[in-house]
Amino acid sequence: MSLRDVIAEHRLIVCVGSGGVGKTTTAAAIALEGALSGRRSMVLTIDPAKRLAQSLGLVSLHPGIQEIDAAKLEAARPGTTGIGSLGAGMLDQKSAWDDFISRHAPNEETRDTILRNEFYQHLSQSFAGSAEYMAIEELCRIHESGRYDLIVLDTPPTRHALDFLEAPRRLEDFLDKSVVGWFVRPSASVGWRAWKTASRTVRFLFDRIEDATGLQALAQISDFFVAMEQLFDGINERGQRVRTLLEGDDTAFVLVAGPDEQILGESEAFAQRMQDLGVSLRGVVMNRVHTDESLRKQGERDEEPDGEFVLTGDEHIRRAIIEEGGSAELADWLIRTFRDGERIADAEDLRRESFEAGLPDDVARVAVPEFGHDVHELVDLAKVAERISHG
Amino acid sequence: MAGKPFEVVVGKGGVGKSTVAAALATQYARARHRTLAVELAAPAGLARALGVRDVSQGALAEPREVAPGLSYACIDGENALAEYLALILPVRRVLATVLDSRIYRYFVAAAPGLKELMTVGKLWYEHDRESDGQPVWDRIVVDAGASGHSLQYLRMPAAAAKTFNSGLVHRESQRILDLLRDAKRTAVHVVATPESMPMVEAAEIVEQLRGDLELPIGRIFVNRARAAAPDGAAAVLSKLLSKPMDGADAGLARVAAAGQRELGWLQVQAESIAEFVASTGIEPERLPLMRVEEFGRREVLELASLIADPAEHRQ
Repeated sequence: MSLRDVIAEHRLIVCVGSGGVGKTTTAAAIALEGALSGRRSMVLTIDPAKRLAQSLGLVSLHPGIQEIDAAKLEAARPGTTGIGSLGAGMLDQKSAWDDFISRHAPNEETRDTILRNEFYQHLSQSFAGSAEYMAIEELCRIHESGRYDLIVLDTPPTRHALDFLEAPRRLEDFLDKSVVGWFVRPSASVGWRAWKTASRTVRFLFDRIEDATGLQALAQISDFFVAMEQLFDGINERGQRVRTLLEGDDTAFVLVAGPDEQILGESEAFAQRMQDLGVSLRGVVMNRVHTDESLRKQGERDEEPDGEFVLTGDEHIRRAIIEEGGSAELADWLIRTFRDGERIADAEDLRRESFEAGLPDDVARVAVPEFGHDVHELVDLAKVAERISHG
Repeated sequence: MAGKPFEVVVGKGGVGKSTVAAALATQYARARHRTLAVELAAPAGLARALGVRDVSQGALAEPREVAPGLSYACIDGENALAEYLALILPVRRVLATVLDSRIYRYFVAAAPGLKELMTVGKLWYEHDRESDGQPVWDRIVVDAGASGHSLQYLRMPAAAAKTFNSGLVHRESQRILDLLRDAKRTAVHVVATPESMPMVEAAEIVEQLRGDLELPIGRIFVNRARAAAPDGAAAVLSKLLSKPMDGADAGLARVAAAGQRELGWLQVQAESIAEFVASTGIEPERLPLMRVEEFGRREVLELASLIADPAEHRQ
């Protein structure tokens, strides 16, 4: 199956990978490809570069999904017919949490208690994995709205790029009713101190923590859970639906990687982890590859018996450059730049081959070359999209 | 290159923070400063850049000497917290019960920023550590991970001091904050690559360091900077590329295309750095792009020499 088929046959594409590999660009390009092939498509991104955001019509402080102008879409790949639509949305972690609480709170009083709680305010900004959970939550909501045929999610950058997959489980653990009960029940009646009688060890530990933190912090935590308890049924049901969606046949995970040795190492670990978690990895997009695949396909590199493309001779090239008014220094620089590029490309190829050999057979893979400039404009994105879907 | 006792390296993912942290630490050690290079959460890029072998979990919380005068440690918030509890719960059996208990695991996960705070606390402990009345380390260099995460670590002491308005955590946080904000003792270095996104992110980090974080800015490195092309490159290339070429010129065509791509990146570099300078007023130091098949220890050592003398590679 090609990556084009993977895109065509799924309604949700989740782009995962290490930081700095071009995940956002890839996600946007996949969504654009969907739009150009006639689907109602959208990309949900976390923190796009300013100029990419502008191209997608995203202006910061402007929540919600922005639909890109039909004329701009058409200009992205002139001559395309039957274009669908492309929307783009940016996730703001803090407001996503606030919305989430507002939606699930049974009444205004509970909502306000939670939103004003200091512990909640820290939690919504700094709880590890909360950005990841909110991204999935938004994805689920947009999916259920039925407004789009293709939704592409750009996941938050994570140090080991693994947190994302475990976010829903972690949030459920975190909000586990039975554990939370330890905090909540006694506190509802006689204050949070009561539950300490449950166990001597716990009492001892919490006395120490109390010394260390001052009493207020624990009281805040307790208050938070008292208020949150009223939201549990909604959250649990939500968690179930999110999981069903992510594990369903409509969803494909695409790993975005690059030929750099460190990134490939991380990507390998990531692909393995996905397999362990039972997540279906359907595609790998290798970005910023230095080998020019198109030349290779035309067979130009295969002219020589050993498969190596051979220059027609440095001297010939030097002469041609000097004939056009270049200095000897420029000629050397150009030849050196080319040779360095080839050398690095060959080393990358070896690394990529060994990485790809470790992937399951049915994973679609595609390489996107280094473009020689940053990709911001829709026209550039369309070129990336072309590479992704046609190799 | 004097440096500060406590240095933190931050920047967007994939820009080479670990490499720069390793080069800085290597250079301090060469200058006979007893140096500790620290990686947070799990052994990764820094261990690799320093050539630390057999990095298995648990064995790394204690600093390990990896070169003369240069040690490596990996600090993980959960281990640091366990270590701290071992100090206040001296009975092993009780400690084990606590660490295994669900409520403890829960609390560690629930208390926002507790892991980050313990990490920073452990760093503080290493900074303060003495042996025979002498500090154990002259220099601590921290590879703080991707900027989202690393700024979270740096933000933690201030947040903790505010959240816990009394008690031990408050006092400790305040002391750590005093260290971090003291320009005589601390420097936060920012690393970027000369492309739009990383440079914009670097400018945002600088803004945050100057703003609510109030932390002393150290050096700004543009890693993988390209050397300028010889004069007249653009004009000659455009002539070459517009010339009709036949099969015999295939090599020339490819050389010209490679040159054109290189010029494209040089332009991106010039624009992104200019934008950074305009928004921050800081002229960054450039570290050269090394065109090697595999970036290894040798390249780190080379960068260490370049980092030693800022004047030499400033352009």
